[in-house]
Amino acid sequence: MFSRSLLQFCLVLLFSSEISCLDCNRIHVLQTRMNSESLERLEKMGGHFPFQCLTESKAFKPRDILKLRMSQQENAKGAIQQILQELFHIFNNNLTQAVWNEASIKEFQNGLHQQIEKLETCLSAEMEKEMTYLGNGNLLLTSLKLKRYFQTIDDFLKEKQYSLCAWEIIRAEISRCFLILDILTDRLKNEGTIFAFF
Amino acid sequence: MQSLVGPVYNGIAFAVLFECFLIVATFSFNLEACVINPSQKLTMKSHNFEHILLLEPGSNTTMPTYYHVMYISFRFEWKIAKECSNTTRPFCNLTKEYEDYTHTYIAMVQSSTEREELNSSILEFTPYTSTCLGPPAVNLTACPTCINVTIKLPASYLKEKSLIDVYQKLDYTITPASHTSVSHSLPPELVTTCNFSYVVGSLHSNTNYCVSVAVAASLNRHSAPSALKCIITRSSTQPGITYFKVWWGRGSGIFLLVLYKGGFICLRSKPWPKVLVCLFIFNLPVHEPDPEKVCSVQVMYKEMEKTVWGYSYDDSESDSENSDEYTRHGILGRVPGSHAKSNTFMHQTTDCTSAESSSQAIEFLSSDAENSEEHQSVIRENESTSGEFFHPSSEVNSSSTSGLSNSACFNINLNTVMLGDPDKTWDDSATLISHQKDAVDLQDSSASDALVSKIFTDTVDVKKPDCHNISHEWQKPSVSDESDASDSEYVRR
Repeated sequence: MFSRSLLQFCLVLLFSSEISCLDCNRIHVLQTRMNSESLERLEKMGGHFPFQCLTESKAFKPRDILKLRMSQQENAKGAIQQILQELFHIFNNNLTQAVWNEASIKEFQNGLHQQIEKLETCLSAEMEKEMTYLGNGNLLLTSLKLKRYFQTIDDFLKEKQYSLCAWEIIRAEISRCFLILDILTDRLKNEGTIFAFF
Repeated sequence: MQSLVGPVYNGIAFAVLFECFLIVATFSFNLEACVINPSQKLTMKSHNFEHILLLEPGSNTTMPTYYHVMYISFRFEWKIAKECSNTTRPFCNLTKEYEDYTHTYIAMVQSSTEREELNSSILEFTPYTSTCLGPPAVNLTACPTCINVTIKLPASYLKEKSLIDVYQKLDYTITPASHTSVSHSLPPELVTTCNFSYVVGSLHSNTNYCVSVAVAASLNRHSAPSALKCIITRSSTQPGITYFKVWWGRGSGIFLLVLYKGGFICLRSKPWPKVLVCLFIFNLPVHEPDPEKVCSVQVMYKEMEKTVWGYSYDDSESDSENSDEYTRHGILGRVPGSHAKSNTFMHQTTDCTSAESSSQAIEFLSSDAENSEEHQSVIRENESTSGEFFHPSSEVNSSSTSGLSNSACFNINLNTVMLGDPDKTWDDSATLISHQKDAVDLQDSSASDALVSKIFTDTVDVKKPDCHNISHEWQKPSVSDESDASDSEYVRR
């Protein structure tokens, strides 16, 4: 009896692994969908913006991430990976004062993690090549800009001691990150064939 | 083993269902409705970046209410909506105020009457993710099995920016409303302009199809679909052409009938001269003859009953007067139609330079082209002994009886087939049968075993269509029948 159900379970797993096989040439489609889902989860995590936090929001003045401009030669892969990893890192902080549902926080983090993993699977080989490319000064500049942006967020959270209002303000700001992610993901499809497996 | 079959099937079925679910989930489309009403008192109606805030819908106060609208974007100061300060109108147009569409705005409405201050309410709104896109302008043109859908994006209310400029890529869902409504979602890569067309194909002709188009973005699934537009897929051919086709078909049929009756097609009423019969046998090569191998083959006729000469569509017209002519055709067998008799057979011996004709005869027996090599090897084997009677069935058996099952149009009682030297007497029937029994072992296909046993005792009833083809080939060597590739070989000269 047990062996029977075990056999069925094994068969299901076997077929599941076939199903979830990743097509790296369509990675931008998958990433677009996952972006959309992550944004939905972020919005569902909390309710409306608390009215009382409006005054505090003026204290937070980061650079506008949507004004991040990348030249045509730069590819979007590095920027997307950096943004996703920084977002994941932010939510690893102290979330006790935020009044959000624990389960929805975990869901959001899992979604981000999956996005990062799938992107890495398809793009890791290409990334190594590009990092060693000497003429890629633009890539470095974008990376620095992003780093500064996320540092501002980190500093704000620390300064406000991870209060409720700080978290709500950051949550509203992070939703704008997904807008730039969407634009960058769209550029992935223009960046040629991706060979993930050799 | 049996105990595993059940769970294996269950597992496979479950896995297939799971896979189907995943596939469906992957391609599922969520289009949200366009009305945003998060708070009780305020409703935002936003279409293509035109934002209209409805203030206290359905309120029933008799006294005039003054509304004061303020809004704030994060990190900025409170601003007053210029057109909506102390207004009695129950709505406020915030299109110009919400200029920076990527930000989140919070609108606060303070309503007051002359006597008292009513409550204020707030509404949070992000234009980029919440404005309702569409409906697009749709035009349809019909073709026989498809519909050409021309889609024009609505204009946005932003300054100097279209929807494509804002979102860069948009999904279009074309939903034909019919009994089989399948949504076509256009990949965003195809859509880069505000005005484009798309062809929905694989439709039935002369059917009414109604189509609705919805546009959405990856981060904004709020869309207003266009109204249903209907069109009938018409055939582009003129009515006259249809009539022409009908009459052409009928005319061809009548013409063929006339030819047949006149005996031009099937030549039933015209007997072949004896000379030509022999010529037919000799002049239907299949492969190049081997000049070294020579054998002598004699054509011998035995008594034949009335037969139907392979005209399976014409069983009712077998004429007894033609039976003699049929025997002269020299075919190694005949089509067993409904009138087939069982006690006829024919020996055929041909000269082997004429190795071609004997091999052709063997080919003729089994129209299975795959076994042609085997046939030829068998022929060569048999040709080495001179004066051997050519007996069709034994050759075929030794190579492959599966060929027989395909086609062979002969009906030979093997008990009467003889093997031996033409000069000798005909008393080696036993040899033939034992030889045939040996031939069984040489066969590869096990499927023909039953057939082999049948051959020993009964006459073989083979399929009519192949025989039909073969007989036609025989009668009209110049005509090649495309349906059977091996048959076409017979008529090649």
